[in-house]
Amino acid sequence: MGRYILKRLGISLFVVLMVSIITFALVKILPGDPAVLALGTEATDEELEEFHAKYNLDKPVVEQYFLWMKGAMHGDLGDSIKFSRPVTVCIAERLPRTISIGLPALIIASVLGIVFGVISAVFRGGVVDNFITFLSTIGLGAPQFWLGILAVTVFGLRLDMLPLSGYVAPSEDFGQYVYHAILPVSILAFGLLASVARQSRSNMLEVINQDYIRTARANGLSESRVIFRHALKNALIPVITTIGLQVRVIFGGSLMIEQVFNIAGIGSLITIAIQGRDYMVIEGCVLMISVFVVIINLIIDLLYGFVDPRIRKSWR
Amino acid sequence: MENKEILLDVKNLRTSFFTESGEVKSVNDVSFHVNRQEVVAVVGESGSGKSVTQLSVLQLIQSPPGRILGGEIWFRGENLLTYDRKKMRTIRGNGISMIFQEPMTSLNPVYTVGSQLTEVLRVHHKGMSRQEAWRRGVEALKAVGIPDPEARMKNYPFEMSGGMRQRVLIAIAVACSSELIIADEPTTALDVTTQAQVMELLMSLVQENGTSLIVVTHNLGLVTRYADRIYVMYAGRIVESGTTEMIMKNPRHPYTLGLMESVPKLDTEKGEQLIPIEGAPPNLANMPSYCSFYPRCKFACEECKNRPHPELRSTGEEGHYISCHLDVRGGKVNG
Amino acid sequence: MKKIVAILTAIGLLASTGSMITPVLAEEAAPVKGGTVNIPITGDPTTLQGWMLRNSNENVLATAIYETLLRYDENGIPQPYLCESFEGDPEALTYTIKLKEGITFQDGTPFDADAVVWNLDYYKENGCLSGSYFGEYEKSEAIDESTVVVHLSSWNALFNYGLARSCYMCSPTAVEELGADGFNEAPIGTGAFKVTKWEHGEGIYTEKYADYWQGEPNLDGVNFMIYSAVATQQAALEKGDLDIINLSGDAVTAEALEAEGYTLTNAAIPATAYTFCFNTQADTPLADVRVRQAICYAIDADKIVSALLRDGKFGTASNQWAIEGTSMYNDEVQGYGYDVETAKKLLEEANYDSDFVLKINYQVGDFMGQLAQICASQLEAIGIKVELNAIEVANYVNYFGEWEGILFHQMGLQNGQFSQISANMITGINFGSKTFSHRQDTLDLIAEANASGEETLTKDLKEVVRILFDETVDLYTVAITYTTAVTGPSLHSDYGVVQANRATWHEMWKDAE
Repeated sequence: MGRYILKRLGISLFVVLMVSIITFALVKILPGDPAVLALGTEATDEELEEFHAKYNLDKPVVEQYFLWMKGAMHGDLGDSIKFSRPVTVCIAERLPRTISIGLPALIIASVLGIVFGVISAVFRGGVVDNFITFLSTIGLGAPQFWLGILAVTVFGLRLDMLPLSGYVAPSEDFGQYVYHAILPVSILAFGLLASVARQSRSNMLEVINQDYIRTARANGLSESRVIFRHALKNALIPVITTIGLQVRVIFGGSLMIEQVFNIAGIGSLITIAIQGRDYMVIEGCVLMISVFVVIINLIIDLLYGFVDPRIRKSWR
Repeated sequence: MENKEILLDVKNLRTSFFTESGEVKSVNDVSFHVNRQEVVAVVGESGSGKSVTQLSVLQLIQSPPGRILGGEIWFRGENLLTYDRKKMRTIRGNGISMIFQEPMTSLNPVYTVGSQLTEVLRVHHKGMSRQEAWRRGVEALKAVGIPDPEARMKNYPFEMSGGMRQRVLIAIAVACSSELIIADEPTTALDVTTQAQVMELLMSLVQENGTSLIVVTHNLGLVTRYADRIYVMYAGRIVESGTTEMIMKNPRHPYTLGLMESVPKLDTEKGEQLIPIEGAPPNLANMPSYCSFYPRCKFACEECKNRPHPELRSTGEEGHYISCHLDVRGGKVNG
Repeated sequence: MKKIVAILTAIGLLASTGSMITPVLAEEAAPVKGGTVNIPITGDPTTLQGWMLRNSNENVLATAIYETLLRYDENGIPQPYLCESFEGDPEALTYTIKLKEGITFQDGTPFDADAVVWNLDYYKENGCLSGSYFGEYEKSEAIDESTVVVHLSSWNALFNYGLARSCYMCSPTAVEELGADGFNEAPIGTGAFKVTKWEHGEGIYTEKYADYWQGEPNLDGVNFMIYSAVATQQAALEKGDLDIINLSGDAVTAEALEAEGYTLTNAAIPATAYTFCFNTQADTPLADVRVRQAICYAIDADKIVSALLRDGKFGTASNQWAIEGTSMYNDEVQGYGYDVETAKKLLEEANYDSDFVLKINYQVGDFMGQLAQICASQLEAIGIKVELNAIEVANYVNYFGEWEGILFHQMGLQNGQFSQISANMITGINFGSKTFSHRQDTLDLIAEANASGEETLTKDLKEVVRILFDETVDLYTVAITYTTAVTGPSLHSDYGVVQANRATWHEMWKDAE
């Protein structure tokens, strides 16, 4: 297993590197000069040149990349062109907000999604199953954005139960944090929940029809044992992947949610950076997200191994 | 020496599946019994209802769409059909055990063989400790002829061959000392050598432990070698029953006859044609009131079509019953 | 979310002249002391350093915190504000500034001649528009406590515009103590409200400066909260989280809110002129002035204004970059009205190649898009094939030097027509360098205007306007919009729209809750 981990780490590093290079190239290809965007159209050529020099924009693209890479290895991600502050500060400010919305959403969506999916499968065709399927379809089909505005209008304006927008850090005032976070977390979780539930349901249905389930029943095991010990473990293995794919939401944030609920998170940071051709911020954020995603995926793959012995064998 | 004590007595069992096309009468008034230390074969083609009958005994029918509609299943002096779910569970795997056709997929891939074995043991023996269950598990593995059983307990199913897995499944039955093992096509998915090994194992259990065995199969060869008695099923009914010798020597039902002729035997000459039974299995959702074998019967006549489905009647030989209006012997109709 | 970012925000000021919509009642009851007002901005300002402020986002807050030496009046002419008088001497190449007495910075330090000298010098070195407005600045000296003399290397008649638009006065003590970066987080100006906290991503909180020179402010504080989308701003307004929102060209939302009882106020100074900038130089049918005239005749600007801008409620038509009745407006400009027959005739005369595809380039935006489509269909009605090219914000500036066909540009009019003409219609800059006619007489007039006194300047630039819009037809104004402030009834202020420069913050007050 040690060798497996090492191998994976190596590949992960490579992936992160490639992502950073491709992102850099893509953004540089986009037309648009951040100097003009930052300084305005009346800036003189001199001022523009000064700006370019300050942010190394006058150097060849490849050199710019290496300068950035060198800095990154020392923990210096450069300065934001738009905000004139270090990229690390910009990210550090916004990351906690994104995480404190994304993490609860993912956890809630995963747990509830699995529960609903299993219930749906076990009571297939019943009222509960139909209801859950109906909700899932909405969750998968309805644009998050629309749901968000709907929720805000209903709960925020009409019923006046919840705040329209805004964010309070949990460390500051936990009560207020929950009060403000209920809507964004719910809307974000809704879509995730739908796909986890769908997947859990179909996996569960498949598993319940397997021969080893028949064997378990034939050997006199109770239905709850059959479902929770024998079926569940098998059914959930693919669901782990689904959840793993959504992990990026924790770190990358959901732009839609941030827009509707006015949360200054990583999602809007990246968007503003792209619009302003703020290369350093874009690279910094992408690097951060890709590192996290790669690590999480590694953990998930290891998790797979713990859960499924067939996978464990293939590591040797 | 036969033990004539009846272990399992099934009377007038009826099980149907309610589908969009209508009611499929998979088990249509079936009665049979199994004595202690006896090997009984249930033979028939796919769709004859042989598997559904056995599943009904253990009440493992998927409901919906299936349902046991009536009959009696006597085991240990009680009618299993009156049992509630909890009580039925005490029988499954622990009085009557069933093993299935596909050993490759019949064990849970993410748990070790040992944990699956001990689980069944501890479910049926409340309060049994883990160590005790482990010990019994090792013993069971040994009893089914698996070498190095301690190591095998820690293996996962995917680390074992098909034959080994089938043994494990049998071991579960042995571990709980089941009185009756129902084996549904136990060797179909295995290669010929392994087939023989598994059958020998089952036979040794019958002889040494006194276990009874029901073998459901379409493989006549198996039947002739190992079974004491045979039931032939067609379209949800028993069409012929009797001792192996009686049926092999003197098959009286046209279907049984057809089965014999369609199977290659060692003394079949090269180039000699196999004679298949013409026609296709009937649509169980749409059965006529007359004999269900009529469309495919070589000997059928107008009479057969006008009369209702024939009841099981004695052929004259003791213990040999058929359900046919005609008197077919030696390949010819008499009278 | 279509209406993200752009134009809006900013706090402006309502002036009574030229406004089209009922001003907010200010004189009814006696002002209530206390309370906080929440105003939206679309994103974090790039900076809060007085010498660096320039973007529209920053303009909103700028005047609450900072003040400039001069201020634009309702006609867009800079008037002395923090100073008593501002006299220029073209011969001696000096400006003499006499400061008002008794003004202090928010940290208590005095706003005196030394402070002003420090600011001017600092701006020359570090200011964002130093190149544009301080090009001729050499040095300044404090003659006495309240008099400053500025020395120029050559005459700049528009220096007062620079000091009205930019160069916000900062406390030298604070800048020296905190350093430029520290000052950014805790800026000190002379304005009515002092920054207490800048929560990046959330907003900027301020509290009143009790010793404000025009009197203690009524409100306890003003908060500038970040709301990136108009829809969320609107919802917040309805819930009471915000007290004001700003719209531009969005008649639908404005009227919906008006129907709910909100008050709409327009700024006196128009915000944006949606202008056809023609590429007169490339070898296309557009090079023929008759074709350009035909295009102008084909546009029914009045109809557009009446349909999209509710008959002048949110904007108006004009034949130049100023509104009729204002001081910079040139009455002699005839313009091109709506005349389809003449348009067709001109095209015929010019042997217009009907296969030519006229490209109209514009920056993406809801209102902008609607305008472009209407214009396109009006042009197609006289037989001109049109191709619309919507451009992303970040890419838009790349079109400035040279574009195909028409650049349908949103020309900001906060600083007035004259400023825009002299800044944009000259050679040596990027904008239009390869597309405008740059006829010599216009260039000469502009150069003369820059070097002259106010009278000559006005005369010359008016003439340039006439030439550019009537004769060379480099430009054609389709519509001019105002920015509209939407306020709730509990807010009382001489507050208006986006225009940066005339908010009377200290007078603003709010009904008690």
